[in-house]
Amino acid sequence: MRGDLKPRQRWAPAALAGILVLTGIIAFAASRRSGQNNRRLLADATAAASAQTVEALVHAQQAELITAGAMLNGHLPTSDGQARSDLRSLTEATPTATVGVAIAGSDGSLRFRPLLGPGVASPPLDLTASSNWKLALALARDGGTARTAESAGPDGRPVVLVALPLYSSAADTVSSRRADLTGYLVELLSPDVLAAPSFKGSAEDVGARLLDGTTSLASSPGAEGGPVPNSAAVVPLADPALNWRVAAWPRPTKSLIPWYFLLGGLVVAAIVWLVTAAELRASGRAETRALTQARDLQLIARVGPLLQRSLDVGEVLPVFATELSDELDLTSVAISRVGPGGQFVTVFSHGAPVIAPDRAEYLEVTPAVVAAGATVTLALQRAGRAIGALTIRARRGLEHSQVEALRGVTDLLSASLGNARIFQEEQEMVGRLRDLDRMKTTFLGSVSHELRTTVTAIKGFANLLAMPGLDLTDKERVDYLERIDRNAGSLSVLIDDLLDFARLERQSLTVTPQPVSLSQLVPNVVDQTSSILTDHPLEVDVAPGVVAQADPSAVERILVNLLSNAAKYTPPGTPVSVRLRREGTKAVLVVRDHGAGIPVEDRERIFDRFYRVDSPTTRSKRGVGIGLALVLELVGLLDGTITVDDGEGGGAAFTIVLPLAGTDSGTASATQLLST
Amino acid sequence: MEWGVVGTLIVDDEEDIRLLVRAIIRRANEGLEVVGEAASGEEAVSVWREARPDVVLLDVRMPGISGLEAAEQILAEQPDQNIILFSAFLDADTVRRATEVGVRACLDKGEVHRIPEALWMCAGT
Repeated sequence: MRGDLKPRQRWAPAALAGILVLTGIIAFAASRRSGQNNRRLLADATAAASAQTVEALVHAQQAELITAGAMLNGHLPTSDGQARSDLRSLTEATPTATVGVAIAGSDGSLRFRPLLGPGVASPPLDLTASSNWKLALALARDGGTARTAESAGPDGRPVVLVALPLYSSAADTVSSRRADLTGYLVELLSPDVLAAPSFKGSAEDVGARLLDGTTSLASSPGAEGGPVPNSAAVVPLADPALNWRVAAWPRPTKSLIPWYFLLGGLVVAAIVWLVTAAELRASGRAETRALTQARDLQLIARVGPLLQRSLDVGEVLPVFATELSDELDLTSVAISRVGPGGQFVTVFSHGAPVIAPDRAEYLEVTPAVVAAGATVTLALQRAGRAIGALTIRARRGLEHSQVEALRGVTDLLSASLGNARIFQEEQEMVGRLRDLDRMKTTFLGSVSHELRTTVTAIKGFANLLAMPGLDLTDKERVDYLERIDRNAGSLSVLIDDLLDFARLERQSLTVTPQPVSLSQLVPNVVDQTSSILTDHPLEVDVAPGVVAQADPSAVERILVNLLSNAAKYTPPGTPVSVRLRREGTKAVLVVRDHGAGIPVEDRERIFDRFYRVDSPTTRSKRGVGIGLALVLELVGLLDGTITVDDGEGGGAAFTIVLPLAGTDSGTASATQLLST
Repeated sequence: MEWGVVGTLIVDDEEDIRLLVRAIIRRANEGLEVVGEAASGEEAVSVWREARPDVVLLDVRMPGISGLEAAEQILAEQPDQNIILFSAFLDADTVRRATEVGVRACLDKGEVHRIPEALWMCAGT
């Protein structure tokens, strides 16, 4: 394929889908990033809020203790039952807290005796064992107010202590407070309890932890394990007594929104891919079809002008076959025409020899596609008639469209061969007309020559005879008269020929068949013609009783012409014979001479009008070339035949066969004619 | 050529015409003489070489080479040879070709009685 046509690139759907996928990924990332930012802000807020909540809760516990302390009026409960009754309000607020009292021992210890809450069954606990608690208790005693401190409990887990000093009197100085201290109202809390309210509502996306230094006091649900991330927001509690901090950090989100973005992008991309790819496939198919059609048209467009370049088939076909082979990758191309017998005759072949059907009837229907290496023969038709065949062998096979293109080319080839044939026939016709024109010119020259020569001789000898002063012998006079007579005879034959020829041209040459006794007629005609045969010995051999169904004038014209020809075209002195025989139901008349004879190749054409055998001996002989044409015409009108062949001992023998008049009603007439 | 006698070579394939021309020349008598006869172009050239006539009276249509071809051969050997073309069918083409070859005169066979005059005219110039 020489064309530069190519299907266009199909990157568009891939690019579009890629863009959509990328957009989805970007949206996914942006969403994720946006969520992360949100969670970070949320962590910050969580940290701050949690710190405040924890602090508030501690303060609330302190306030509760103060309220309870006021109800006790500075005195420790005298019985467990009273204590439980007085302190119940504390545990109602914080059910998980363990509330009790601490009483100073003589050894300086402070024993905590739980009265209410989950730790009520625990053994008494020395609160001074913890330096934190000891310090807080001392500060509370001296300050006359509630204090809070955190330390490890007996089980090692952090415990928050809230203590309110109780005095026996209304002490208002440090010394009096120390002197009048009766004990402490104490509440022990788990840090979980303090952190729980703030952590309880924190979002799933945020992890939070209450810290004392690096020690974890409490964690939000799901954020228990592992270290606190460095990026966590850390907020310390405002109360200097509580050296705690709340850390909060964003946790991996569980939000599906970014995934929706990603999935949405992928789905849209897939749809776009499918839709555009389908559309592209469709347009690609259309494009391929268009390209194929364009390629086929190119083939036809290239081959068409080649075929019209010339009407000479020999010049056009090689170029055509080469071009077709190149275009369709053919290993063989053979073009044949229908010969006279109806069989295909190869007029041109190109490439390896191929075997093809030899008649139009044997051609198969052209297949839609041609397999690789297969041979296909297409009929060349003109006006519905097979005029030949195109046989091809395709190296790599032919697609449907190529077969269609081949059909188109075949039509063009048919037209071309048809035109070439018409042109050839016209050329042959022109040639024949030129030959005819040349023969007519020659005929006119011959007639003029014949007439002039004959008339010149007649007039010249007549003048000599009539000239008074000329001294002529009797022999000379007789000779001149004979010459005048002979030329007059020739002139008569010529004029009769011309008249008959004119009738022939007008198609008005007619005969009147009737029983004719050739046995009588032939000797008479030979006798009458003797004047033009003076130089030739005559041999007449006529069988008696031969009666033909013929026209006597026509028979006479036939015989005179044949004898006249014998006289003109044979050397003087050579004999001329006439023989009549009856053979079966035919009368056979043979006129034979001993001249040069008639060449085989001229034997058919001598009966053509104006035709004369071109040889040195006949070139200028008198005669105009219509005598034998007339003879043939007359014999035909009489239902007879005429043939020419070599005579015995050389020369030409003309044989005329005429029907006998004895087969039906003619017999009686003939008998009657003979008897008269 | 003898003084006062014009020797003529008659060339024609028709025996009647040769005899007629000979008779007309004989009748004219005065200084005209037939020195030879030929029935074809080839024979004409051959006889001409022997007879050396003053004038050649040459038919055109003959067996073998034509009268014009014979004239060419004769004039090639002797360019000043007097030749009269004597034809039954003198068309323009024949006259033109005769002039080109060097033929002195053309005479139609219908004017056979003018042969003596034509012979004298040719021989005299």
